[in-house]
Amino acid sequence: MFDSLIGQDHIKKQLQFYAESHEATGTSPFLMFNGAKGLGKTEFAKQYAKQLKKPLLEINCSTIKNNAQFFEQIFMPVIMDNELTILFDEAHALPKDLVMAFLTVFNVESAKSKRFEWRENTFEFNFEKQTYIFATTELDKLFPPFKDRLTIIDFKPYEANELGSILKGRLDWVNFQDNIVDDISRTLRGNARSAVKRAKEIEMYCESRNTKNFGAKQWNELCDLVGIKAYGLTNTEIEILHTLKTRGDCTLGMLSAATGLSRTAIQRDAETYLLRKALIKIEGTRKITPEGTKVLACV
Amino acid sequence: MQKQTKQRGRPKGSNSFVKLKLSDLISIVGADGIVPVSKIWLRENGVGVVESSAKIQLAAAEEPVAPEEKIEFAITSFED
Repeated sequence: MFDSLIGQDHIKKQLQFYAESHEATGTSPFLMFNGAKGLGKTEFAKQYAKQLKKPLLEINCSTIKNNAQFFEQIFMPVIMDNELTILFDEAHALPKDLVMAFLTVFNVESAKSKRFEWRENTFEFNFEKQTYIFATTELDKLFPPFKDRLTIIDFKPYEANELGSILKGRLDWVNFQDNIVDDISRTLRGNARSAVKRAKEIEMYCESRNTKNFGAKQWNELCDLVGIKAYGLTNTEIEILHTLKTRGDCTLGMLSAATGLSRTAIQRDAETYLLRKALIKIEGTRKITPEGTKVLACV
Repeated sequence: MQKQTKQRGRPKGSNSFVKLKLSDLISIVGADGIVPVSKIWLRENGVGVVESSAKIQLAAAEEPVAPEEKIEFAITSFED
């Protein structure tokens, strides 16, 4: 049933099971999709909604300011009494008072609905009509008792072959040569959305050059044109590698001073991927690895 | 012996105001007549007072209304 999606097989199996049990019971667990950007959380929510035969309502939680705004603008006019799958995207940005309300609402064992009293009004959450899904990139920021009420589904980075399939699936008219799909996949950082974006760039390249063949020569030209680096490294990551190469081992503070980036920005945005790809290592201080040196020479 | 001072101000329990039907008041001053009313009473009834050096103008009180922020959402329907 999730055949149109590539990868995340463990999630497909789990959602398939929930979709089948929904047919029998009429309800679904309250789900929390957890994973980095571009791993397909929204796309999986869409396919799940399709399975349940309920339209998908996507809400950006960072635009919800308080309970009053949510109940007046969304719950009463859009959700109440309607059959919907509701996706609360960026759930870590939910306002505190709404999280408190949801603690009550989603505190159910087997009930098929819950009445929530707020400011002399009663709001009925009907779990047979409405299926609730939350999604976040920052699960650690969620209030733990709220997390306890949800079934957490972890998305993992895509394998290179899965990204290659996404890419080829979108460009079935392109004749890829020289095993170039493997090289392209290595620049996608395990990210499905990057694969979609890269496919778009290749499509633009092939159309502008009026060709259906895409090999090493074309790939190198495209990399040069749009600034694609080995491993899909960003300029900040390259700067960190460069600093470690020229200055030798650095503490986080030294790296921060040398690059002008805050310690948090280095740890959160740049180091993670370099560590994942074993281009740097931390042994008290930050060190560039032989692989990191090799990659740096290429870029 | 202390001389008893004369008491000043409004005696306890007295009231400066009387209740009057608006129709009776209109019959006295006319529909366009000017009647002094307390600023506090005006404010309590939701009318703001704008004072200028020349005259007192009345303006309907308007709460500063912050532009209502809209929640972003989208609905996707699926064909059978």
